[in-house]
Amino acid sequence: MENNVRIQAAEVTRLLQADPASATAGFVEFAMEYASDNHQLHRALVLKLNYSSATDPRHRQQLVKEMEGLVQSISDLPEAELPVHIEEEAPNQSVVATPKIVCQTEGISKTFRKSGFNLANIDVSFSLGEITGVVGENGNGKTTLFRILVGELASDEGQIRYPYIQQDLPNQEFDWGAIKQEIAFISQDIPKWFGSVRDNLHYELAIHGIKGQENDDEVDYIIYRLGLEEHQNKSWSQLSGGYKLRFALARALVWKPKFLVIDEPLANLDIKAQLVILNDLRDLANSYRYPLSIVISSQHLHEIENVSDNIIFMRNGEVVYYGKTNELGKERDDNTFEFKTMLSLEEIEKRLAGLEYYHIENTGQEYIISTPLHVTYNELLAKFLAAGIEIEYFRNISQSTKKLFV
Amino acid sequence: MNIVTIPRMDIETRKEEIQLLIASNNLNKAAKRTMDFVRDFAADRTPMRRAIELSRAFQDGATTMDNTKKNPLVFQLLELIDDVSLNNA
Repeated sequence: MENNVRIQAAEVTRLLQADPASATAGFVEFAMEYASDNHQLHRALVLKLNYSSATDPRHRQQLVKEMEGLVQSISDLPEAELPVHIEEEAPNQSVVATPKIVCQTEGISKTFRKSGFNLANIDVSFSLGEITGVVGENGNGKTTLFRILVGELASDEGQIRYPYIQQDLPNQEFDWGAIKQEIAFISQDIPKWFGSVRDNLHYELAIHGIKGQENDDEVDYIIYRLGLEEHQNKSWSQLSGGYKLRFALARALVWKPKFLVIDEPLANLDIKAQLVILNDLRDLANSYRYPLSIVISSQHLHEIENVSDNIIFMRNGEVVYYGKTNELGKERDDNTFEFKTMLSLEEIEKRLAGLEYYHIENTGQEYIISTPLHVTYNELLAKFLAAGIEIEYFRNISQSTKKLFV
Repeated sequence: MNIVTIPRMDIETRKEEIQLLIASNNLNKAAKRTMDFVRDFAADRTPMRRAIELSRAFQDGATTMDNTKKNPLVFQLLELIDDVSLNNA
């Protein structure tokens, strides 16, 4: 152990002297591994933080000196005081708990006589702690499915159950009134409200039976957690579209539902706001004490895929794909890439003469090219650049639901 | 709040996540994740009030704050997660 600490300390010090900008991450890792107390660890984290935000070279140099000093003091401890590390065994897969199913449908169908639209035979389930992305073009049944899931619309056929919610009900019975107490739904059009953001959140908790100090604490938590602090005293007309959505999320989450269904939340948000909201939802779904299952529909495929555990792709009222996001396209026969360029299809085909590919198609918004499996992203990009094809955008969609739209 | 039994590894993983966010100068996210950490693992509501106070202080301009003001807040944040973690030991 002693040698290990001292060898690593010498290496971290050498790297800090040679290339401090790259070595500071290793310095933090060293401190997290070997600091003998929290004081040393906290000092290391703050030194790295200050280094990251420092712009003056002399200040950075001084911080590196302090890091070197801290490495020295960590490794200088007498052997008896050096931290003892016990390698933790990886958890046994056989004891990992199976996901708790919050909602499950079997053969759900719904026909609208007037329009003739038919939602057909939907078998899906939603588990605690997981996010499920529902994608598909408009008018393919996403909203209809959501309205059935939250009890706003009855299906014509099939069954729907809420095992995780029903387990707490007398005789585990199916009681819509009680089940709906655990479901939050945010529709595409967020209804207007009256009063301030804060007052509405207090009210929302009160109608769920949470009063007094607990009510105040939960409102404070959700306001600060969702970045609404500057807007907490504003009314509907004073909030932008992005903050109206944040408020809708706050109102839905403040009473800790077990099932959150959100229809097209990203439609009017810029990319930064989309990422913040999706990351917040990812964190909140994974809560240890108050986990929930989240279902989101969106046309923003890549953003949704990045945070979703599962993906449902719907077309003409049917589920075309339903499975783990990371298993999408695993057993494909080809690679598919999308790109944008000012060049015509004929010009692209001319410039790619000699490249092995199956097909190029102009979708009107971008080009889609499919290639044999051995053609990688980097190889194809290099080929494009060598052929003088100026691209505005290039993405591998082989393992994206985008491929299902093509 | 309900009392739950939490595997030690989960607390440590979440604690390290916050420490790394701090080290990489992502203080707003660190403050948010501290609130989540406290909500998940604290036995009572007092640590949450501290977490919210710290979050409020960070959102008042942590990125432009002088180190003499910022560092004490960061130390308080780190001590808070240590306290909650220790109380769960």
